[in-house]
Amino acid sequence: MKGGILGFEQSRKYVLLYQDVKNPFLWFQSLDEGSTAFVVINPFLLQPDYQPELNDNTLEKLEIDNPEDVALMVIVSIRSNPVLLTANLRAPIVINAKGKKGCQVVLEDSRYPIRYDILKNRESLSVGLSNLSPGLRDSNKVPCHEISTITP
Amino acid sequence: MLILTRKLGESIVIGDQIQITLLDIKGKHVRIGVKAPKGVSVHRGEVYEMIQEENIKALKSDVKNSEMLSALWTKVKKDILEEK
Repeated sequence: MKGGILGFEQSRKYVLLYQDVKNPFLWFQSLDEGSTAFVVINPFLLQPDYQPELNDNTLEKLEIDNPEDVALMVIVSIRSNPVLLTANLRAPIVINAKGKKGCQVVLEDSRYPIRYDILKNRESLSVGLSNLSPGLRDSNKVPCHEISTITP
Repeated sequence: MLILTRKLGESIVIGDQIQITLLDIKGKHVRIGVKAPKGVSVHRGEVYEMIQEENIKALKSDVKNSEMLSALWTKVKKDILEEK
């Protein structure tokens, strides 16, 4: 894997932005390329039991030594007409919140779909949101800081 | 592209740390063993490509700015509440 976000390897630095702490949809904005900005969401809001297995390779690469430092985001694809919101649960962005390093990881576990329909599974989202509210801010573990995506 | 012919059990070495071995052939299915150092990710080509395509699609999302993102959240929230 070349690192970074697949297909966007030239972008190395990103910031995670939210303007409203109550909105679980955030921007994953490239600092290298202004027009590269993904809408992301914490996958635990979508699937409270989301538990991707990260291999040693990833942990090593991101220098993760404490699981509590790991924050996950998944990329959301949005179509407005008709409304279709899908999240890529198969390839989360794994972030070492302490070390400010992250990369997109392709999971081997095929249980997690590339196009998870968020609205079709709105009950699950509802559970996820109620689990976390009112402290939604906690779900957005990584504050507005620079994150470097890395290559192995 | 370099093309090599290999027999069952034979392998190809890439660099000094990656070895690809032809393990089994059954009809149209070929089993391949990949030995690579920890830092190297190995994926089926089609999965890798699908993720790339999905990323590109996500970038072309119909939400272009913060106002649209706020509007999206308002809509989703309403959607969830109505369902309850």
